[in-house]
Amino acid sequence: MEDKLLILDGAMGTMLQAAGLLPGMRPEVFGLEHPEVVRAIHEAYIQAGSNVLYANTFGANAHKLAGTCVTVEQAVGAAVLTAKQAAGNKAKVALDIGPIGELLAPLGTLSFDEAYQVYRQMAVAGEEAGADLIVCETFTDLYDAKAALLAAKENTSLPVWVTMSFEASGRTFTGTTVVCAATTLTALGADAVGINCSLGPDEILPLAKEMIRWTNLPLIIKPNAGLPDPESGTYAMEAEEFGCKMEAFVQLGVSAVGGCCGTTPNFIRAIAPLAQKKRGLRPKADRRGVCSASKMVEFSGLHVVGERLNPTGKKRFQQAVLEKDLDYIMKIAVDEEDAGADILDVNVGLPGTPEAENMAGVVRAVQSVTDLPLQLDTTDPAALEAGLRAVCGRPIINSVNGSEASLQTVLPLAKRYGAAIVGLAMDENGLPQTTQERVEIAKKIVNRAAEYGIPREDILIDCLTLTISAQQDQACHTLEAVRQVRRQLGTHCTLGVSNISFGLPSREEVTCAFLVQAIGAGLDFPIINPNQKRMMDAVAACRALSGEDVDCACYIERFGQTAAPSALRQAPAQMTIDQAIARGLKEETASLAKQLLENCDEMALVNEVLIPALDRVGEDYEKQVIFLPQLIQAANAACAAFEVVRDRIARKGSASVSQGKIVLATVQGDIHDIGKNIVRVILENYGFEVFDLGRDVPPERVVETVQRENAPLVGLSALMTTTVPAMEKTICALRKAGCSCKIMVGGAVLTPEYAQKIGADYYAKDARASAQIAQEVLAKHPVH
Amino acid sequence: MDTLHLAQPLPERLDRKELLYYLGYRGQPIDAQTADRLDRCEEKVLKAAQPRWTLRRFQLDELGQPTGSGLVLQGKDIFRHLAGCFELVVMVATLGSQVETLLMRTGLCDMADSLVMDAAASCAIEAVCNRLEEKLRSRVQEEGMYLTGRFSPGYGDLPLTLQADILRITNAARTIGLTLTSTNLLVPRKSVTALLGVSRSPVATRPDPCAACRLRENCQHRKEGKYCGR
Repeated sequence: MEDKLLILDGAMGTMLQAAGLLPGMRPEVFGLEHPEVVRAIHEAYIQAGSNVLYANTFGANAHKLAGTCVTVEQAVGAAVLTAKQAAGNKAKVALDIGPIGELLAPLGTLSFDEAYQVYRQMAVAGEEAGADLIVCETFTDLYDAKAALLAAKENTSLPVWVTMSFEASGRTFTGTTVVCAATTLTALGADAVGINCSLGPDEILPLAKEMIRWTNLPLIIKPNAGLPDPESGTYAMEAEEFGCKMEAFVQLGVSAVGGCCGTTPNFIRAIAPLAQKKRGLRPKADRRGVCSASKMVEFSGLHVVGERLNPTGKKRFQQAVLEKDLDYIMKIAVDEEDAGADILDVNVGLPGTPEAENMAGVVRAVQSVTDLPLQLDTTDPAALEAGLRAVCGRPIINSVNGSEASLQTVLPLAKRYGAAIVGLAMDENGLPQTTQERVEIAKKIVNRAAEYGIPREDILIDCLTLTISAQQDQACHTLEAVRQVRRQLGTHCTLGVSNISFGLPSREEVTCAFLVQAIGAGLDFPIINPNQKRMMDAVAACRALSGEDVDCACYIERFGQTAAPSALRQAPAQMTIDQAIARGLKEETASLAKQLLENCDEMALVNEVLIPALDRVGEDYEKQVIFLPQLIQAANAACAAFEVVRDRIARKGSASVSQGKIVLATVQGDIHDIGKNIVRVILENYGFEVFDLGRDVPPERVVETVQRENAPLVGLSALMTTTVPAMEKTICALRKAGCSCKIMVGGAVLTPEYAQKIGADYYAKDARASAQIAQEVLAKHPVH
Repeated sequence: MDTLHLAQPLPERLDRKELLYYLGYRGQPIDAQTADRLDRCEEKVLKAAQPRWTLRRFQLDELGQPTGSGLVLQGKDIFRHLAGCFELVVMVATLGSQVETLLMRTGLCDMADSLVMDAAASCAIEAVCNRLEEKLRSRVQEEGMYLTGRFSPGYGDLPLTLQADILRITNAARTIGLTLTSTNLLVPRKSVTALLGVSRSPVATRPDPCAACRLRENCQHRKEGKYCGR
């Protein structure tokens, strides 16, 4: 962008409405039918002083044009042509890409890849039609904006600007913050970033002041004509007032200004003189970090990276990766976040599994339930790239090392996606044995990264933690290397701390001591198990010692409170497992289960204790002695016992206690799942192995899973009368594929008659009924 | 008038009876633990809720269709609901995406909590709509007129396919972040779109609600001679 302030244009929508666009009419279709109207609006903006025109293509995407006879190429082609005719050589023309208008998964049903394709189509059409640049504006979801940005950058050679819409709080509707947006979009290669719509100049100014500290990219500001009057809904701000307020942005060093909703050519006329004013000096961005869409972890101070999402040495986790048991994995992520982890390391590398596919799936799952930035842990470049594309935010790559092969494959990916990077201080020569070797390799990595334009502030050097039970002398070398790297190279330092104590008794003592010594030496990104309270206590103490925890406030809060056991959760000294289950006490149930397993095997516990206990609770529910929350809390508690059983089985490699396989799904097009989830919990606690495919599941996926698992029973759920036909489709698909499974269906609008009509075998009126059906069906199908 | 200002869109406490209704309650004893769960979940939902709304008003023509909107009302039941009205109010409201994320996250760890929170969220969005409707009714009464109750796509024979037009004419995606899936389901899920009528003469706020309901044949409440309260 040039040194001179660019004057953008103003609102198109309101101008079109004034010219005859009725509510409900698509502006792009109207523009195709009345190009002269659109041209006149563009010309008015040119006369008012616009240097850049946004073509009338905001909603010209395949989803919004569906149902009209107009194609994307037609709408984009015509609109860009009209703008170019108006602009002549006086102004540049931007393809205006607005959001598709549907929320991306997991909140909605639109996948990232689908969104990418829709934006790609627009971008390519825009470039072909002769647009000078692409602007993605009014985005409120960072993942959506990422899809648009990558689609535009990867399929055209045009500059791409991205502006997002925030509320006065500095967050979008979906919780994306200004600083996370700036950081992520800058990392992904936008040519300019900024803010448009929703707010007026006064509300946007503090947000712009914040944004400017986190990116060096040119900044674009395109406010509404103030906030609409709460009673009348109209924009009351006059053009002159708008012009005055926009001056503050020039002083801030912003590169382009314009107007959004409620603005007219008069507003542009009022801001055009700002281009003559001297632009404020833009200070270099002084803040950086890694982030999710909603949480920024700034690169200063001590941050905990959670280590638990890793199959190494964890049989249960390995099983979860193999079976794609995302619920188990997500639960660990939530536990780590609740325990105070700042960043989550994600590793799904397991021989014999599709790592790239799993990495993308796990990244999406984890970020749907936690707010934390992610650290992508893999040695497979395909898996790394899959993770880099799937992540929403700016991640850390774990890792690059000093070998040529690694430097040449990983650094380009780090550069391309703007990620921060862990540099492992080892190379082709194997594990370093001295401090010197570690520091030399670190230097090599830093210098090579610099060649790619990756600054040392984005590098976390890992000086390698070797286990003292095998190489006792290495601990000192690691610590000294950390000291020297921090002093000489100015990068950050990370370590997989837990390794230090492998093979020793009372591991926590050694791990904790090493952690504290390493922090003293300069470690600022320890990778630890945040669910080990002792470790997090040490971190809290270190933060108090460094002054990072001002006035020791967090420390005092953490240790100052005496744990008040909730009277409701206090179990009497001798409680039976039945009682614990009935009262929904998870910890007590789990520990009682462990006790019982000392004297009986897993199968006996399940069949003779847990299932009968659940049956009794179920009967109380039927008799209306208890109601649904109490039934579910019992199932929750029994769940804890089942986890103990599953864990034990995984470790011993014993036979599964599975009572049989059941596939569950909320059908295609339906996103209601609370009923299905309750059924799942109940079925799992009756010992069934449940494959829950989630919601909005296409028939093909149900068929594929049933065939793959040879499942004798399928449960389908649909809440709406409009999505029940998808249930029928799924049943047909299963029959056509020759599946001999039984099918049960449930959902508020279903009736036994309708269930029969669509070819289901059973109608389940509630979760209890589905458990009874399952028992009936699977009794006839003994488990292999 | 395209907006309605509400100082307090959410009540301090949700209607406990309504919450219990959603949970299938039939008079069972509620132990201390369950009462605690109900309180806790209600509090979390109210804290996570970020209610937003918008409305638009349209004149109804002689066929009972809103003019200048591009919205075409269908079926018989909505016209019965709007009988005698000369204006249509289109209202859209949502609790926001934070509640959605809360429900997903809770479902992982504690299904009983998730169930109660889901019910609480349904109560909360209804509470917001009730407050909007009340405020609108008093505004309309100041003008010397009357307001019907709410009628939403999916009730009776008013098809869900109208959701797309309703969201478009209220600019819902841009103003309150309310969107639609390709199967006409609102996202975030705890959201409501509703049509209300303005009339110059008194209108029943709730003409026989069971008449239009699709579940009337199988309804447990009707069988017991009761009414679900919708």
